[in-house]
Amino acid sequence: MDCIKTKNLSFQYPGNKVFDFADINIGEKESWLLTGNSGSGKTTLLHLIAGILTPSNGTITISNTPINTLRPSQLDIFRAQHIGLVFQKSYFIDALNMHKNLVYFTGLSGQKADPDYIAKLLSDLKIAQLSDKKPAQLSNGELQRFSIARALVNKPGILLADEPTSSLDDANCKRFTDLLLSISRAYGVTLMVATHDARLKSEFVKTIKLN
Amino acid sequence: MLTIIKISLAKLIHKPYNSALSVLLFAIGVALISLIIKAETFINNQYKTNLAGIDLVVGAKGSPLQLILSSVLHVDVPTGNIALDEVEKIQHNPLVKKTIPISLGDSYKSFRIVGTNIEYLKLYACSFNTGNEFAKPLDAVIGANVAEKTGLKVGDTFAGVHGFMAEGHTHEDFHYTVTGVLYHSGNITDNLILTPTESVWMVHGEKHEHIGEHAHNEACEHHEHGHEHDEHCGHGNQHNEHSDGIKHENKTLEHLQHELMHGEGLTEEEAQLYNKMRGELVISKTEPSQSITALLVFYKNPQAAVTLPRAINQNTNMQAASPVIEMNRLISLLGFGLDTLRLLALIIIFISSLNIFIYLLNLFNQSVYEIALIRLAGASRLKIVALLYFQGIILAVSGWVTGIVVSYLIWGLLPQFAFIRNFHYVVFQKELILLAYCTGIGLLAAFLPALRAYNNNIHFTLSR
Repeated sequence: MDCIKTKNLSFQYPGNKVFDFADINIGEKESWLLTGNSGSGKTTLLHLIAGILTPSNGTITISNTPINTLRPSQLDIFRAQHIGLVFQKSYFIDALNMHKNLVYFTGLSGQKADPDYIAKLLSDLKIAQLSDKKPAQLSNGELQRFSIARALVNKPGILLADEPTSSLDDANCKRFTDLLLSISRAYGVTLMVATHDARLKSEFVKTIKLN
Repeated sequence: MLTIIKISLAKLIHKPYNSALSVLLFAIGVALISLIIKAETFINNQYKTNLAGIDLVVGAKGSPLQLILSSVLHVDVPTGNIALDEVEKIQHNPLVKKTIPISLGDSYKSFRIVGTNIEYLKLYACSFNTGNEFAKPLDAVIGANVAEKTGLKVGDTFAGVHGFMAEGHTHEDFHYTVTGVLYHSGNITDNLILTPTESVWMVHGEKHEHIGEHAHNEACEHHEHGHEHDEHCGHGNQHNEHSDGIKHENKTLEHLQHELMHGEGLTEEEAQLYNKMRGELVISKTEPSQSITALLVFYKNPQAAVTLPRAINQNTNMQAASPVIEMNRLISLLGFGLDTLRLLALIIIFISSLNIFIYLLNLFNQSVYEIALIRLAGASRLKIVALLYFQGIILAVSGWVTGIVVSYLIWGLLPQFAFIRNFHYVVFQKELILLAYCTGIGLLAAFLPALRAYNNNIHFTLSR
């Protein structure tokens, strides 16, 4: 069964060029790499799939739900519950400790936090001992792990990562990619990583290349 | 929404100095306005209570405001005295329902001694904590504040000081005896020492050293003045006996006076006997030439308000002043000062709301990524707006709470306003209205940051 499916998808920024995307069919629990040069529309496609952007044309179906038919408020909740996002930079609410960041993230999606699940997630990511720290007290690598934890805290079916390794050295890049792949397999999520980082090509079997 | 409130609070606490500064600035404005509300309510309440439905005050020529301040509010020096025979004419005027005499001149530890009658106690609905009303000259009923500050209690004696200052000539020859202590009433009687008018005459009588010699004759004159012959005879006999008693006691009186003149102290019993004897002598005499400081007048009907003051002002050497008119004049003068303070407070609140606005705007600019994340977490645009509005409201309401607490602390430290409890509900109602305004200001200050948050484009923010 397709988990992510797009058809005749295009998007135009006001006064700028039109992005026409080839149709995509990604099955459940698959791991895909989305590559392309800068400006090829990787982030745009990722944000379209996440429902952050509204397509100019075409349809996007996530887990059998055509998301462009949802009202904005429905889309906000749908995204929060079905799609996890990891970014190049790790953004957190700096006033809260990491545990509260995760709990409140769940609360905002209208769900109740599952303490056992969060504990397991943090343990699997080897950051359980850091959960009472605030973002400013953590290193970039630790924050990236918490980014993955936050992306998975609502038990989504899809994990989207946008340039997650572009600021990491080779060793950390390898370590982070391995972690991302293993954790997505362990938690049974569909993974899609958008990057121009050539180091990741060898890690993924399935690739979409944007021109 | 609870999560949004928690995040709002956490973000403000995360920047304690900035938040505290915003709250503090706001609190200063609120405290000032709250104090003005209290002062206004206090003044209005005090005037209403102390004027006690007095329609007119008659006194010596001079400033009408001074007459009201001295004779009703007891905060200024009297304009002078008025003769009793003139006063009697007013008392017998058909337009007059009731009058109460006021005689001033002395004080005790800065608390004024007011010569009057029992009607004055009724006028202010005084109730006794201990003891009873005054019954004879040199009896004294003291207000709650007087008792508290001087330590006087029922049975204690004291001598008045000439004038209204703490220091001055003490009337050592005349000792007042406290017969009653009043409950706190929140009106002017809290700070007064009330005594029969005759006490003031007695203490200030020019010929009081001869009272004993003429007591009998004067007593008879007094009796003939107001009673039927038969009664006079019967009472006269009693009076003769009474006068005999006085004559008999005069020996003691002279003896006591001799002791006083030679600087010998009196025991408490001797002092009470001495005062009692002198009081009886004064009661038994009437001097048509006696005077009082002022007369509080109550009209029989509204028509009196038109004719009586004019008649007194034009046809006598006294003046008649309306407490309501004079107080309104005074309040309008005070009102200017309060308006200036209120304007100052509003300027402070305006500056503090600007400060909240700048603070929230900076907070938003520093939090664009966080806001994008919160949106990604499922929060709608309206929830993001709520986040900013909550921050504005939390700051403004915290400022209100702090300001109100500070104002109550300041107010509580002012001893003369200790009876605030008498009208706190009215004040608090106004302060709740102030809370509504503060909330509005908080919302207004958060409007622009909230609008920017509402229009924040998650895609552009996260693509940077």
